[in-house]
Amino acid sequence: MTKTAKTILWVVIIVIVIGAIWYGLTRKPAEEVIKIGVITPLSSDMVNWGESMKGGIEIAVDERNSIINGKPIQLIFEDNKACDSKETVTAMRKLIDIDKVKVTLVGCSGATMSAAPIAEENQVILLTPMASAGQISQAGDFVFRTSISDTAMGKFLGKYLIEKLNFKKIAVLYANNDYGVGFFNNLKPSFENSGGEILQAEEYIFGATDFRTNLTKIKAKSPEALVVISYGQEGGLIAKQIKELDIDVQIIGGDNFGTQEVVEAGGEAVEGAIFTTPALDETKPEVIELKEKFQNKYGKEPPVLISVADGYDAANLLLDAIEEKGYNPFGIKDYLYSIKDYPGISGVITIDENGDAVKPVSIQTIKNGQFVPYEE
Amino acid sequence: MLEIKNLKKYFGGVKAVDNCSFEVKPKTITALIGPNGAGKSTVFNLVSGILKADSGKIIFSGADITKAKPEKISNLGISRLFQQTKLFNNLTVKENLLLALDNEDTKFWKNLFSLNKLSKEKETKIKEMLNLIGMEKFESTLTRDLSYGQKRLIELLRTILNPHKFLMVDEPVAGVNPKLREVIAKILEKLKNQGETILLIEHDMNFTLNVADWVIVMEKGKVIAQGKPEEIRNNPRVLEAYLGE
Amino acid sequence: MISAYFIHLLILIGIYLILAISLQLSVGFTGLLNLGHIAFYCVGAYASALLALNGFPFWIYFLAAGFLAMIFGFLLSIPTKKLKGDYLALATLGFSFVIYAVALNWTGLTRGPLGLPGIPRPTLFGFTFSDNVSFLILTFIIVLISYLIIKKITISPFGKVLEATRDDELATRVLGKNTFKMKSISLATSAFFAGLAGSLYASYITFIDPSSFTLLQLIPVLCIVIIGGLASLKGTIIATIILVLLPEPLRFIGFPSSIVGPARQIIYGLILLLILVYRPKGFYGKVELE
Repeated sequence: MTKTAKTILWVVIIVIVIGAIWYGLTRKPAEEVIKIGVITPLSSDMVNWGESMKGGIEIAVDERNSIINGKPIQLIFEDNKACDSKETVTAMRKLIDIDKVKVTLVGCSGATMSAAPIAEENQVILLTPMASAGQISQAGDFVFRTSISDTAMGKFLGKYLIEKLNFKKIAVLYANNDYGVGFFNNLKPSFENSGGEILQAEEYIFGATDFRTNLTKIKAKSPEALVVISYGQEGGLIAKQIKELDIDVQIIGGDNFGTQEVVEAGGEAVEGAIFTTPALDETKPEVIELKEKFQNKYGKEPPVLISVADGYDAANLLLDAIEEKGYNPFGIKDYLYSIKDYPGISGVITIDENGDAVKPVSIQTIKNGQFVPYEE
Repeated sequence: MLEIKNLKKYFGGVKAVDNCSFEVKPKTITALIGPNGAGKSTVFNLVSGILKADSGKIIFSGADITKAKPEKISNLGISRLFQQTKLFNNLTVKENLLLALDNEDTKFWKNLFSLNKLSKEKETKIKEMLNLIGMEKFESTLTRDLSYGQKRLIELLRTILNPHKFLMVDEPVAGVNPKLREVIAKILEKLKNQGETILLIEHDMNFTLNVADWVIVMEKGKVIAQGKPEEIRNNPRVLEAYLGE
Repeated sequence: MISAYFIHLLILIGIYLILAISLQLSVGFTGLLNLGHIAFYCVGAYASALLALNGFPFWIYFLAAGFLAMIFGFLLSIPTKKLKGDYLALATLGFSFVIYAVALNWTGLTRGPLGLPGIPRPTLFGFTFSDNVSFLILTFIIVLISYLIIKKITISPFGKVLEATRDDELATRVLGKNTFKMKSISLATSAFFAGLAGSLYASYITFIDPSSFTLLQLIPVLCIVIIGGLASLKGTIIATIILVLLPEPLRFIGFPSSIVGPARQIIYGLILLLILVYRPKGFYGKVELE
């Protein structure tokens, strides 16, 4: 490398480092600050979820003018890349040990599982607004979750399919990540115990774009309905390929089906699809308002609206707890366990004895590209 | 000691070694000469086990080594110097030479538990050999940092230190300055006087005909003449082959 | 009272040290294009976790992790007997993908993406290493033993044969050495220690899932091996400490929250680039590969 290039490299690094330190130093000193640690994907291919969760949290804090009980709120963000366990644990240790944080918000199931023992050990609150793995329910006394667990979703849908929709023979197509697998593992027993039969279950690689092989096998069994447990635009692509392969089946989506991405990717093919949703009604004024706030703050549409709503509700629950009980994990813990019928944007929340949010699940359908409640 | 019988090696359409047969008698220095492309190095590679013959036989001390692997051939007693330097460039002169002395270093457990210590004898032997060529000071130098001539010397030493009954030396003095040529010639003489058997490839006619007991001439993959150096010097067929190049 | 955060970092350094010096053995000393190191690490982690969760004692699941990884290392070396050296890069790469796919899809064994939670901390002679200080001590004892073994291998004559194999395999064979055996032993040993590192990792975080064992995870370890300097154990140690600790001060620079993720990564990358600009062969590299 030439001398000029070396010099430029040095200058760039020094400028960035100095600039950033200066920026850091000019922030409020830590006299009596209410610190909340947030560990979520801020880079890597999971960044859409992380940024959505972060957006919801920051909006909630903004609404209170970043002040609670007369003290400034400080959000400390840490990046756990693609929900990496190692990064999460390091961030958790740093937040608790160095920043002396007593309240944390963590995104992702794997990350929550690895951070949970540390939260328990240090008696620090860990609230996750973005994790669906069933095992989190048993992760600890100080561990709370406000997003719906796959256990709850899977169980609900299993029963709903038989009791309300009268589908007895179905097929399932699900993503092979913790969400898809967890959901399916709970759907199956619930559905079968209610008298249903799963004719074909197909697993696909999370992130795939071609589902034709799986769908062909499913077509061969002629199910009445096809339950699709997918992420992002996958739901839309799957719907399109179902139409392409001329499969006559009712599409039932999971809670990641009701998104703009799916409508855009699926177009005509997703019309009439039914899906579960943790009651995020995009026609409600407060939801529209949240969407706008995100747009105004970040200059773009929320990538994953439900994560924004979950993050927003979680932050508000925490801030309410702190307001009522002070910055004290034990008090906050009691407050959280006592939450009943809290009117969150992501749904009405009641926290159960495991620290899990029990939210009503609603069923919606797509009509003319819009999400509307499904009439049975 | 070494017998080549009807050896054939073709590379596609090229007949590198074409029905080649000759014998190397023990305690002699035999020179293998011929114009470029005659197949001399290919014969060497076939004997060393680096290339596989298409047909024919290679017999060493009564054993058929035609299909044997290079390491086995080495352990049967054939030690080889290559035309291009093949020293271990990230190791020192001493380390390069030690590797040749024996194969105790390939025993994992023995080495892990320090049962393969560097004996005084090995140290002394190395020092002696380096003294012989005036390179004692270079014991700890990385071979990468040696001059070309020095590299050839060390490589020759390594070849000799490898326990052997038969030496194959491919162009030991190519590209080496006259002073070092002398040194190498002396080493080969000394080896001959100690009763060693050597097969030598070399382009320098004077060097070769001075040092060899027997000369084999190859052209286009075949042996075209054999005999004592004086006979070969004046052989018209041989002159023809060389003039043609 | 030493900060829990710092102790955590030291434990991470310990685990990476074992991974890095074992990778150095196969790559730096033997010249093997070993891209499967994380897969050996993964095999070790899962074997250890599954055995531990089924009640086996520490010394069994810890050593089993090493041995199972070692067997795979040995198996991967077998085809190098007949095929060219570059084959190994492809084979180990393929192996990495296969192991990851198995971890992700053989849900009956590994619970796939849900991972294995609740892995117990090691218990030896009735003492459980549940607090991090004691775990750190255990880690460092294992690091020390691993280092001493690998160091002994590399400075002994056996290590010289490995280096000779790297520098010129043909010349090594012509000196009578069975280089195939050398490469097998090197890769198997390298894999063994990666397996041990996997066991330590699983026992420490107490939760593993396939996402911790993607091919991407090889990059930091490979960086350490190169920046430390090929075939330099001393350099490897220094590089490990630096590369594990380097991102940490970046947490304290007050980047605005909107760019904190990418900003830290960019600076980290720039600093690595700077190191390579000043030391292209790594800190203590003396090896030039041909």
